[in-house]
Amino acid sequence: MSLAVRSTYGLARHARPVAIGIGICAVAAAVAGAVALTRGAARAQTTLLAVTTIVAGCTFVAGGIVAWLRRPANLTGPLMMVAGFLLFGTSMAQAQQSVPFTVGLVIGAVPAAVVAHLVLAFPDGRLHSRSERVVVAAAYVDVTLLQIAMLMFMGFEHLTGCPCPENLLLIRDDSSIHSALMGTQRVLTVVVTVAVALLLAMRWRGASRPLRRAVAPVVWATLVTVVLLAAATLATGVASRTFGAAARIALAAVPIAYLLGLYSARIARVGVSDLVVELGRLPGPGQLRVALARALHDPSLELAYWIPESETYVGIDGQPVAVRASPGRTITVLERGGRRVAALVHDEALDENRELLDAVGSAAGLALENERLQAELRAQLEELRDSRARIVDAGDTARRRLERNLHDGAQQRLVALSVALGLAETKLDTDSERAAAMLAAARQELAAALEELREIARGLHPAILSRGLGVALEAVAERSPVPVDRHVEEGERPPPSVEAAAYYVVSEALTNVARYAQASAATVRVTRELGYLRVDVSDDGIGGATIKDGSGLEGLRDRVEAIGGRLEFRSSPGSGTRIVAHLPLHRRPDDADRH
Amino acid sequence: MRTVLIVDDHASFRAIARAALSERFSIVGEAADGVQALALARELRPDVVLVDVGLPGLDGFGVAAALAALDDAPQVVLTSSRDRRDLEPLLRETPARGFIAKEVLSDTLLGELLG
Amino acid sequence: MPTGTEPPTRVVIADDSVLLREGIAALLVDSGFEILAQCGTADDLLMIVRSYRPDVAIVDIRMPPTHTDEGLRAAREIRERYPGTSVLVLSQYVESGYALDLLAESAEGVGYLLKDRVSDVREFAGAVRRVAAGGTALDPAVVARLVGSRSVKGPLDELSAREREVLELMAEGRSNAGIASRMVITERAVEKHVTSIFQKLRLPAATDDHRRVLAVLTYLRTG
Repeated sequence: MSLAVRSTYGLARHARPVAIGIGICAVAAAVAGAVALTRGAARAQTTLLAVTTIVAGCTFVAGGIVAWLRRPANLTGPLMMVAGFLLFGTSMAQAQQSVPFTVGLVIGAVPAAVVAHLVLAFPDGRLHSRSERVVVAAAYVDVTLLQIAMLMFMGFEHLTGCPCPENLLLIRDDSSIHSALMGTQRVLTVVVTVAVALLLAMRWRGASRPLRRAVAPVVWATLVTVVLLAAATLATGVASRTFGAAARIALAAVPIAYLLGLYSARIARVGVSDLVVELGRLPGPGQLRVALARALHDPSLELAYWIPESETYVGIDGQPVAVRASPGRTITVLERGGRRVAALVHDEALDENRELLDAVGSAAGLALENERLQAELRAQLEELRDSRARIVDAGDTARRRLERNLHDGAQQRLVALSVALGLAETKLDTDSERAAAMLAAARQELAAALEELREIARGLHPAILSRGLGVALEAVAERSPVPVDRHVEEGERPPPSVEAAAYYVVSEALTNVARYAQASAATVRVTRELGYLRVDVSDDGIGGATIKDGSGLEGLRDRVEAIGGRLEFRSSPGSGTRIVAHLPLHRRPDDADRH
Repeated sequence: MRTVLIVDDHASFRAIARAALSERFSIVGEAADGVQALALARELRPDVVLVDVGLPGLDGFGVAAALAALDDAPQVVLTSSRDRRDLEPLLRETPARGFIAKEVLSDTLLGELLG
Repeated sequence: MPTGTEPPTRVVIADDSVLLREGIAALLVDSGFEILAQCGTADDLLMIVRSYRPDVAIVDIRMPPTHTDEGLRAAREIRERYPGTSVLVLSQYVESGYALDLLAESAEGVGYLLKDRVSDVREFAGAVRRVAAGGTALDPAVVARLVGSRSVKGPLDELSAREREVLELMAEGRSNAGIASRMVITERAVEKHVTSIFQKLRLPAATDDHRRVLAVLTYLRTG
């Protein structure tokens, strides 16, 4: 059975048609761009520059489509697509008409800002800190507002490669203003670039290993691009154009680098097959976590096992653990055959690598189940120890209670009886009527004392059980002030310990019903199922009971579990209470049972 | 008739003591614990307080000591269903008037004890 | 099954029959009540109430010496002197006169039940609880007698059968919730019936259940 990783990502159903549409647009834009560039080849400084722009645009759009299909919630895909279309758009600066010419000039530098945004937002597509947002905002201002301001004062008549179409934004040609603006733009560009580099360096330092693995290719590609761009800006002439072309090729590599990071799962499959081999050697308990951490390159990985009976997570030692997400860490729940088996707490960078989590999860399937069972066993042993301690306590408490019941109950009655007889004695001659009344009261007191002693004896061991469970339960039901509907299945007599446990379950449950439930009726059902005696007591009262509130239910559970049985308990306010005990009918070899 | 306050944590004894004593005494109050006993004693000013030694919280000896401090203190008679011999050391120290085992309580005996 | 830890209701019982006293005591203990004391005379009852200040005193109407209405008078005295103690009076027969006397000024924390009613443990325990909490419990037989005794045609006949039933349950001192569960209808339906009844009988709206009982009884008595 394969282990399925419950993933929050998936392909949106409408994604494919949209992606195809975008692809078609991209092709059209690329063609248009190529046409514009070849037409204006004279104005274009070199065909190399033109070709590299189109190539970069294609990789960005293609990369953006793929990234968006794989991670619809991640903004990186759309950002890449935008950058790609913008790159195509810059080729409009080669057009012959003034409108596309002007638009091309305006957006000429925008792709760079979008790429800066992209790089800072890797790998999850979001900007996380104020400084990141400020830098990206500055970059956008640099390429839009400053660019437009510069164009307002820049005529193109004197530039090489012209005559050019009209610059529609031109207010007046003023070389001093536009050089000043261009200078400002250059300075701001340098500042932004340095800032981006610094932020990336800081992020790198603070990143976990999985995160570094994810962003490393992109960071390299960006670094190379930036260095080449810087060289292009500083150099002049042919050298400048060559550096510029090289920078665009490096830029084109950025989306590829991103996709590489995304698909590093495929590369990391080597790590997964190592894991499979390692697991085949059946490591000792606790080794699974180490192996998984190694395969996922996340040394801080935590692994917790799910125990369905108690609905809690435990560690390998059986002790409960809290499974909580914290900043930078997320939880992945592992399932097997549709049932929850364990939970991984891991670095959030792994969220971007679902394929790897999938692969690792599948490989670990059997070992995981094995360890989970060990953890469950340890948890049960712990509970068993607690239960035995409670039983010893209960023994002491029961003895104390017995002493108290004897003193408070039967003993007091006998005292009162003695006083009453004494009184009767004095009144015999003088007031025979009163004497008779006293003797009658004395008799009543004696009857009550006998009843109390009988109750105490029944609490020690109900004698009526020797006549069989059916008769005993009939007696219990009759004593109940609430009407009891009884169904007791006939059959071979269960072992005495089982009969006693069944008796106490019914007796205790009905006592609680009478005292607290305000019920109109109760039902007792005793049946045999698959080697178990099933004892079911339910009422239609106000419910709301809990097992730890001193209603004797915890002691009942201990008593039931001590003979290898199970007690279920359901009580919600307003809908009554139901207690079901399953008691095993088969004798264990060391039972000294005798009827 | 002398007035009596009966103090015992067992309702059955309070009832039978009431029956046994009401011929020669006037029962003016009953209490189930020491604190209530002191409150009623102050309010009702009985002549006699019959108090069980084994009360929860403030026990019979405590009640006897507290009552002895009152002005015009009532006579306190201690009682118990437990073995008297276990109580001897404490009985020697108490300001109470005397002790009657519960099972032999009668109005005659109480009258004799009080004098 | 317990919902929280509420202290048990504290009860004293006064009846000259020891058997009945013990019987009632046993039945109430099983239903979660605390029996503080029992007695057989009205004087002892007052002494006990003074000593224990119970939540409710269950009192037989007839007690020594005269076996006429000692219990009733003791009940009235208790209501006057110890307002924290409610009184539930038990009677062998339907004596509407005594019942109405008991409820003359206030139905708050007062009840009147036939001894027969004790055998229905759930109803009896519920009535004791209701009275102990300051409500009212009037025996259905008494209410039926009152409702049925009216020979003169009047607005009472304009009530539908359901409304009649609601009227009787109201007179017994039950709350809307109690009436609803008794008639197996919703509380809203009960409220509608109550409003209709009060309109038809031209009674002013009552704020509490026990004031409501008074209003209804006064109406039934005098017309």
